[in-house]
Amino acid sequence: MLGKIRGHLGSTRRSPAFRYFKRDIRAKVGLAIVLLVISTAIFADFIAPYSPTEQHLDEAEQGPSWKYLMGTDWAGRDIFSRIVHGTRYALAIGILFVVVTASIGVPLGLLAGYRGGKTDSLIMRMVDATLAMPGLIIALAFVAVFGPGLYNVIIALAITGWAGYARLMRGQALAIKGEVYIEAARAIGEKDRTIVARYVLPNSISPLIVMVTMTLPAAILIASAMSYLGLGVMPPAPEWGAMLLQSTRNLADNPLKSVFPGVAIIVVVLGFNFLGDALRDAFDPRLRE
Amino acid sequence: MYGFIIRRLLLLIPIMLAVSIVVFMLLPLTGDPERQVLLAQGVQDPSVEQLEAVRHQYGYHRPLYIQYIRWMTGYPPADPNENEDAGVMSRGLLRGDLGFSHKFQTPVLDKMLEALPNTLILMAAAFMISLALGLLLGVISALRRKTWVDYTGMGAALFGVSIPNYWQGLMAILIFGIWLGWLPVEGYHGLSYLILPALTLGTAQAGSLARMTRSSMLDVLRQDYIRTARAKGLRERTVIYTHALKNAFIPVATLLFLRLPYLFGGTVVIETVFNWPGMGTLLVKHGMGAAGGMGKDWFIVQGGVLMFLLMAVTANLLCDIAYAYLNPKIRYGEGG
Repeated sequence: MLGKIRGHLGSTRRSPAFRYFKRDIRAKVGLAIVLLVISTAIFADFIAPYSPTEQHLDEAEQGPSWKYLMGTDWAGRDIFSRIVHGTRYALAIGILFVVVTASIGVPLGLLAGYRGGKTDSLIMRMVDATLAMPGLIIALAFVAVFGPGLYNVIIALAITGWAGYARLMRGQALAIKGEVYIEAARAIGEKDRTIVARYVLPNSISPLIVMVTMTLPAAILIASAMSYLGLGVMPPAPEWGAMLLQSTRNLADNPLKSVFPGVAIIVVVLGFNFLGDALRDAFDPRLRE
Repeated sequence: MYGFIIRRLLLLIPIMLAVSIVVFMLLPLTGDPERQVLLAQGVQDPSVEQLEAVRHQYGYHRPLYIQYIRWMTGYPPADPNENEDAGVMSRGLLRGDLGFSHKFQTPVLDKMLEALPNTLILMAAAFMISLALGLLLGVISALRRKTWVDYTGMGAALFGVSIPNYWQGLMAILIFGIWLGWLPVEGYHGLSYLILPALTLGTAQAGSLARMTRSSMLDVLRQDYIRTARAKGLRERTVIYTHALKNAFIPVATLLFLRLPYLFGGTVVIETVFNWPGMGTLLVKHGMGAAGGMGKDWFIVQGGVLMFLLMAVTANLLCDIAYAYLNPKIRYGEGG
């Protein structure tokens, strides 16, 4: 029993999925970008030449130069330093969103799929209703009521974000429930909780990983849109959406100021999406061929 | 079929109830509704007397459930002995009263009905663009799998889903509006004003649609009946057009409906970027006081959120009914 699971997890190194993933160019590019972003976030203080909020008012609204690689904004803050520090916001938003939504959605989904019956239909009614709701609008309303800020944005997006995880894990639990090793675990008297934690969850880890790599960049995009609207992370925080909000006041005079944060968002999101696509294809034997 | 529709309509009752409670609670959740009302009227620093007067005028001194019932139905009516003012109080949501907007000095519903057609026009145009572009790109990429056509198409689609939509709008404004001067970029005073926002919104949705279409098409092309069709010597065109496409569109159609909530969200953002006089701008700018709006107007927020949630619920209902119509398994099943 445990052997099977150990085999399943332990063999990833040699599994066809891993071999396929290793050969995929998207995996390489995606992984490279993601690692670059993570290390930029960790070493932001060393990479950025200035503090992200330090003002040089007499040098405001400048174009790129050797002193200010990407120019300065209206308050003379170094845009390059702000972009570098922005990686922290992007990663924090993405990671926190995934952690919060998954820790709500995964247990609910497993419960629904494994228990079945009334529990299942109750949870799935909620999931269906939540999925039909426009998440961004609900999130905006939440922030309008409770105020902007990083944590409120995460909570606001989690109100609807958990449902996708619940639906995925319910499907997984339903499929795995019928496997022989689950029956065997029951036969040797394992408790339901143990079965779900030790057998069902580990065996649905690959679609869960794919889901994580797909929802993380989506959360970064939506959160940056909220900041751009002024209902997310607020200036002067070096969050890219918030930077764009401030830059559009004089879009025509200093367009580069609006270009850099956008490109930063694209690079990060693209990196995660490359990774997600490669993982999805690697885990899906039909797509391998 | 009718049984299914009736069951589905009955399910609407708890959903609508939940939606109405959420929308109602937006104002009480702010903590001090009377201050919010005064802020919307332009009173920055209200005195205790002013707050007290508004509290009674709007009936905020009553328990929440009474306020809710009154907000929904208009009952119990305003009580002059409690200094409640029938003039400012909503006559009840069920009678189509969403309250009075102090910003615009008009009933919120009038403002909503003014903005709704503009939003629907924008969404319809964007939907068409995304449909045409997304399906075309998806089908061609699937048919030319693992060729440069596929790689270019899917590269573009991936890029499309990775671009922040509002930034794409900003760049469109910069390039086509400011530098080239080809198209107007703000407001809505004619068809040419529709082009940039609709294209921005449409291309964003097209990316994910193309990706879904491609994988759905590839799924179908792998099926036995396609092999059979080819084996019996049908021309490739016939196989693709009459066998593959039809079957590939079924899951795509479902996904289209499932993605409608994203279209609503996208509309709100794009409307704000282009200052499009629709529901999104009304909600975010004039209601929530963001994106250059001055101050909040909670009755507009309530109305706007309600309108979008109603649209989402309706779209979902239509999707379910259409799906049941196409798929008898659901119609006669446990009722889904």
